[in-house]
Amino acid sequence: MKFLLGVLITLGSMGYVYADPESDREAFVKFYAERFANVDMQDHKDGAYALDKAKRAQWLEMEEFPPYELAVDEGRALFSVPFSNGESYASCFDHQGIGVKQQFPKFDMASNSVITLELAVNQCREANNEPVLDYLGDEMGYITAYMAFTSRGEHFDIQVPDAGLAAYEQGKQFFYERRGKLDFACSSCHMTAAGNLLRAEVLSASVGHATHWPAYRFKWEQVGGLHKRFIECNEQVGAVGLAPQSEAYRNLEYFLTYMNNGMELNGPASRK
Amino acid sequence: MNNLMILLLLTLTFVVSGCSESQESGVAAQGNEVQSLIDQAIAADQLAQQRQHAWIITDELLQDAITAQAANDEVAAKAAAERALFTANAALAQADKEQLAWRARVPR
Amino acid sequence: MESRPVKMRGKVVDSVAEIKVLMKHPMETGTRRDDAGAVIPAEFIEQVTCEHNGNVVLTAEWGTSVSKNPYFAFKVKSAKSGDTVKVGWTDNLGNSSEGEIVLK
Repeated sequence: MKFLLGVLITLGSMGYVYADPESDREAFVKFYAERFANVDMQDHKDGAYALDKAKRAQWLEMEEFPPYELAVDEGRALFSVPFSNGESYASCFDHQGIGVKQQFPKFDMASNSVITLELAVNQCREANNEPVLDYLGDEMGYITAYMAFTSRGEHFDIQVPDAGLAAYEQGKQFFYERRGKLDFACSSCHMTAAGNLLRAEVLSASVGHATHWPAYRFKWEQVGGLHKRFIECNEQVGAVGLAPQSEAYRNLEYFLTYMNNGMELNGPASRK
Repeated sequence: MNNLMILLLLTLTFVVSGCSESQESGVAAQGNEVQSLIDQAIAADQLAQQRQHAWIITDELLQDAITAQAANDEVAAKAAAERALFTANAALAQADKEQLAWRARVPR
Repeated sequence: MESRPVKMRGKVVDSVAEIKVLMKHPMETGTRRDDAGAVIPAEFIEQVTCEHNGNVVLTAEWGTSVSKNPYFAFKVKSAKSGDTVKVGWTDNLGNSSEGEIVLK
């Protein structure tokens, strides 16, 4: 009897945990649709600027002549320069690398891991005997800013094959797991408290979190990627940040981007 | 009388040297305790790092403990080491609890 | 010195042109240190000059409090389509750059 109960509980909890990604996403979106009934779902791609009129007005003014324009120009130039061996970024991506950002992150069967755009850029460089770029450096920012720019207007349609479920689940766990001295999970701020003020900032909804990267953050005075933000967020709650493009962050990006399926890409973006 | 004085002086010397000896071993005992605390905190913090749950403050407190220890400030070193061990263990407890606790936050 | 473009946008509304400028410049204050501990030398825009059809309409004296890649906007009166607006800067090292647009 006890054994049977144990089996049922285990199966039940497994069944709960391993609910399919699509059911997860529907529940995820429903949460934000109910929390922000007056906000169009697509507007969440603008993050906190979808939730605060005054901030939005200031941000729109800045968007008329956005600070990431310089990065996009640099990226466009870098993208067209061939590697020493004559190849270029275009040879590593579909459509010559133009308008492909929405494909990332993707689960790679061969390596049994999640490939993000930044990782793909460095893999491209490695394959062509070029030195890899610092994930938190300017050049990676320029290239990804340009690639994001060419993908504006596209929509996410991330796939989670059976082989990718474990990575997806790990990303999901990370999102909901409390960490750091402040004992906050991503969901603590961006789900439970989404729309609330945290000090002087409005907390944005995670349903728009993957769309606008890389971002020019005034705080950074540079264009930085999503993993730079992950590190920053982790450190803000007192947790030691992990390495950019570490497995945990790539899995988190995988989960987060899947949750953003159907959302329109609007990177690169400017953020405070 | 002189012999008595000499005997008294000798006794006094032994007693005094005996006192300082025990004083020294008292300090040495404290030093070992601090080192043990620091070692334990480092071990716990490394475990937390492996589990990707380390707290920033643990390393800061460890640095404080090590600096105080090098400056022979046993009191400050012990206090910092105890706090470092506390936060390192708290990070591990958080990792343990969160293994299952996260599931309750997933919207259905 | 690598290319330091001065990007400009201009829009005429009721004979007033709203000009927006984005300048690429490190705007180093001279107080930051690099990883080795050496001071990063000061490099900042000192003078900005804006011209409308060849006439200076605005000069600005900047310093270290202006951030990297400065953005600024200004308005020009009596502007019409076809006018040229030019913005140039010089910095403390003697470098300079400029940009020009023709208002639509």
